[in-house]
Amino acid sequence: MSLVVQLENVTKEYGPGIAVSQAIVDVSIRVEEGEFVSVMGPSGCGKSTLLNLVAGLEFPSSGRVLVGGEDVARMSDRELSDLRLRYIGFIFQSFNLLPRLTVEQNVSWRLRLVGVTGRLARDRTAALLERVGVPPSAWRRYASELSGGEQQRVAAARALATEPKLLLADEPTGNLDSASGRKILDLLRGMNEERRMSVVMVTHDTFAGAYGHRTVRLKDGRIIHQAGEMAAPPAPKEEGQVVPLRRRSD
Amino acid sequence: MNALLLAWSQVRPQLGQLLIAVATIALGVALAASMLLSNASLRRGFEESVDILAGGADLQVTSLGGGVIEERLVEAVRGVPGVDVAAALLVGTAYLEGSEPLAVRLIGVDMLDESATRLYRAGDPLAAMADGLLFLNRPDSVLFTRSLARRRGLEVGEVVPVELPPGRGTWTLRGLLDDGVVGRAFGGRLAVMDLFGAQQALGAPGGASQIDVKLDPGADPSVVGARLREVMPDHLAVAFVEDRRAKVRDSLAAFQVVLDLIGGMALLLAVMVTGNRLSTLYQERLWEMGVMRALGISRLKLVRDLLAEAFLVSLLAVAIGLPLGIGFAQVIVAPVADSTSLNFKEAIAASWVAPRTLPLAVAGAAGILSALLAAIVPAIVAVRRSVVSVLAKGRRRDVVDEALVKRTARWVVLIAALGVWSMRPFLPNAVVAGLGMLLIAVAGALLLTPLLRIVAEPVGRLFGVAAQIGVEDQSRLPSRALGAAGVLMAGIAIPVWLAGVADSFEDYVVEAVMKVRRGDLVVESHFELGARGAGRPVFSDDVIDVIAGTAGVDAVGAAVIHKAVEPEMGILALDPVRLRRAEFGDWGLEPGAAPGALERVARGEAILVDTNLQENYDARVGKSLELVTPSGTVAMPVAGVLRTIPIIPKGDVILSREVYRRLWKDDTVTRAFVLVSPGYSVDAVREAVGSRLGDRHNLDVKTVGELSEWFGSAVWSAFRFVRVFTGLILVVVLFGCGDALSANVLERTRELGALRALGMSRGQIRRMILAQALAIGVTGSGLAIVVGLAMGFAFTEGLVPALLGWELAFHPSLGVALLGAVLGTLACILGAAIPAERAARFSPALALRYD
Repeated sequence: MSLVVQLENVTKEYGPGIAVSQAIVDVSIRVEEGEFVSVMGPSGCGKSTLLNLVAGLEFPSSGRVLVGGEDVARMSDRELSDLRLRYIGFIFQSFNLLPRLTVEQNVSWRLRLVGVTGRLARDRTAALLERVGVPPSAWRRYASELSGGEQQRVAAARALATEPKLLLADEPTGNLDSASGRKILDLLRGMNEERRMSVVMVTHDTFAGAYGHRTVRLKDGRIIHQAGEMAAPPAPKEEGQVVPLRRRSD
Repeated sequence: MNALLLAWSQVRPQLGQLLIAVATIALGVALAASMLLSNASLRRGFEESVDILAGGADLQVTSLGGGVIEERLVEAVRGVPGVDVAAALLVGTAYLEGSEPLAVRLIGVDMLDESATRLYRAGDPLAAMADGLLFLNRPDSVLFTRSLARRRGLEVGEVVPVELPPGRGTWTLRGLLDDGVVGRAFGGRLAVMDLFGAQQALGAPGGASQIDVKLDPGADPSVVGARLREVMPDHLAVAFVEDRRAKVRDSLAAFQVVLDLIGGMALLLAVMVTGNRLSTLYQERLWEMGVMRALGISRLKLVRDLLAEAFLVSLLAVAIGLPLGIGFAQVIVAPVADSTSLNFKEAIAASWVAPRTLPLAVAGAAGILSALLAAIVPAIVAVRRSVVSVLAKGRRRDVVDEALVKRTARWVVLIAALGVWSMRPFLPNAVVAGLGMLLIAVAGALLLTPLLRIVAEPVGRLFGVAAQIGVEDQSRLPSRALGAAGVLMAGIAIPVWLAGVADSFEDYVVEAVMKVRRGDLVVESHFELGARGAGRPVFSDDVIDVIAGTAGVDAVGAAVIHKAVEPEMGILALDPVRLRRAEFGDWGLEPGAAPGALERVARGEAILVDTNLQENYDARVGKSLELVTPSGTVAMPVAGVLRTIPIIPKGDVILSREVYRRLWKDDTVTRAFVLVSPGYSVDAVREAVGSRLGDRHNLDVKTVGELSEWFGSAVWSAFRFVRVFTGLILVVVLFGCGDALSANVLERTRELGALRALGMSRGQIRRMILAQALAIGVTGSGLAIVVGLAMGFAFTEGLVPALLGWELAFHPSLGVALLGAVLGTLACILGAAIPAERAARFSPALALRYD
């Protein structure tokens, strides 16, 4: 199996001295290539912190977070940015699109950052938007003019723009109605299956959680339950092999 | 009181941001206050100086043609019924020598006449001296104000080297005048002598500048004035002192309008800075206001609370800004005083600027009112929208409609260009020019958004992909950027405008003045005009013979400059050779000159006038102009008209020095031009003339090229205050730009967090903010150049001729414009350094939680 994410006895604490609070306590998780993991739990259980740790947005107080086989805590800001740009795609609950950019621009800016410009960038953006189901009539509209469901689809296209190996989704259906939410979940599942992209989705919605091959339940920062099996067989690779990072110089 | 307490509780959590707001507003208020205070202070100083010269007099007898009158006339004045006191006063300028030469106003008053000293409110001046008798016995005795003595490090009894029209000499300081009313006149640069001593010093034996008259209690000034006119010779004027004060005020008014206009621009800057800063804060709070309304706070209370908060913030800023403005004024006042001195050929006080209520109140009110205005707009938006829509919208802002932006840009450019162009035929006209300037400023403000949009792409490209995203984003929500770009535009447009005016003056001076001032060498006093004092120093006629007798000198052409009081005009009297030999100047008379005009003037049969005088007195070729001289009124035919820079705005008469010497009884010289004989080196002749002149006079021998440069530098020194003002503006721009970008960064915290989470590095975020600053800088500076130059045009070709009577052609100062743009842009980028670093250092995880 190819290992994409590995958390080893990770604890994350906030605050100084006696006011310290533990968001994550001694958590160990492995995410294989092509695996769809749902992280579930009530509000404040540490789900989002877990995603932030994987994305290198925060660092563990103890333990190690390995992404693509490398310890994120040992990476420079440039390496971390590169990791988030090329290896990871991020979908947020509140979309976080740039409201003053058009739909196309919201997707293409990440392509431009990795050096894909001009016609190629336009073609790829169009393909991504078509794939996520945003009609061409909306491509030149500002992100702020779209409905919540449409915005989340644009956010998905943005996340997928650089063909990441790992997709992190933080409550992707939290701000959507159930129909829009289902479309987004189908989309994530489709990406996971088509591209063998690993997905780590944080949700408190059991319906959404069921989309994962495996469910990790958190409570008060600790894993209280892991269930499920890999639904899709991984590509034939050696056991424990990691999907390596592609560096900016690649 | 409760409203204020609630307001304070709102303010406290945002203290950091508010402190920046307070500092920015305070700077804007300080800038406006400093300009208004300097102006008011100089105006007051000028009026005080006039009052001192007039003293407690009701009427004043002076020469219509300017110059001195006979002192003995005072007896005739005293004999007129209704006259209580009459005193002769001689006023002139002396130049104190030393490492820092200084022009001082010299007043000669009859010290033995107790009533005269009462008239001038000087108390008993003899009491200021250790030995009154010695003072009167020695004609070199002088009194200085305490501040003047302190400034020159002089003690009573010391000998003071001085340059006077008859030559160099010395005075002995016999006593000090208190820095009271008299001491404050002319900025303390005042020397008082006994009338006899002053007459010797100024080379005017038996002369006086004026006879001041105080009437008996109950006497009717108009009746006594009429009696005086009957007994006085025709060439003397009897004027009411109040009329003279009003005249001085009138002549100052035009220049003060110019200075007030600059003060007004500073005020506008203050309003923009304040409005921009506070609207940033309050826009952010729209959502909070929605929440408060949802929780039961009434609309009225919401508006009241916000206004109370704005009042608190601006009050604090004004409390800091006004003392700061008083401090700035001390820096600005000296260069502004120099400018005024140059314009009026009078020593203007540039002393400590005392706080004055009106300018401070205006600047303070501008700060507070703009703060209230900045608060009321978001408050009205918040209360007019439904609670649901405000809450749903959250902190999101409306995107600017691009089509509307393009449409606006097209129309604004078209209308402004057409508007300004169509006003051209109506120039010079103060109202039309003022309207034109207003239109230009409004057009500039309306063009900010479209231009920001246009520059976004090329600027973004310079800094890479991340920056492109940032500037594109900014150009579509330009509210914050607009504030900064607007401050920059207004701030840089002012120096660009004034530099254009200065350049126009310089070009005009060099072209118009130097074309009739040619030769190889110039001999003139070492003392400079304007910046250091009052009036051009003159020297005696015998110097001309010394120069002419020097080996290698082909010809000498002297000139004297004089100001006639009634009718008001400048007199330029030239040696005939200056008119006869083309090497001395290209007179280039306007078409329609009488045949042999120059020769007729050289022979003393006719005069030339400049275009301003022709306009003001309808003095056309073929007509005669009445000249009121100390020898009586003389009518002389106008032989030609020329375009030059006049000595005074009303215009000049150019005549032969022979005529002037005879009619005005004055044989002094202001400047002598020298032609070097063929075969002689100019440098060698220069040295020879210098050594022959010796040190009887403090004279300089310079080349005509050096004189031309001096004229140019004199013009620029008149605009020296622009540099100080620009420096202050750049500080405001630095704060304004930094503040706007800080607000921008704060407003977009969550977006920046998302960008980091999606792969943008710190460096890219930093570059993004700097690119935004560059876009603001380029937009603001670019428009500043256009607006500044356009305003300069309207000002130079519209307001200056209308207000000052000088017909100038506008010459844009492109160098200053570019420098201003570069400095403004740099200030903007520098101001962005902290917000850029702050944005780069955001923890992405925390930023994503920001709401």
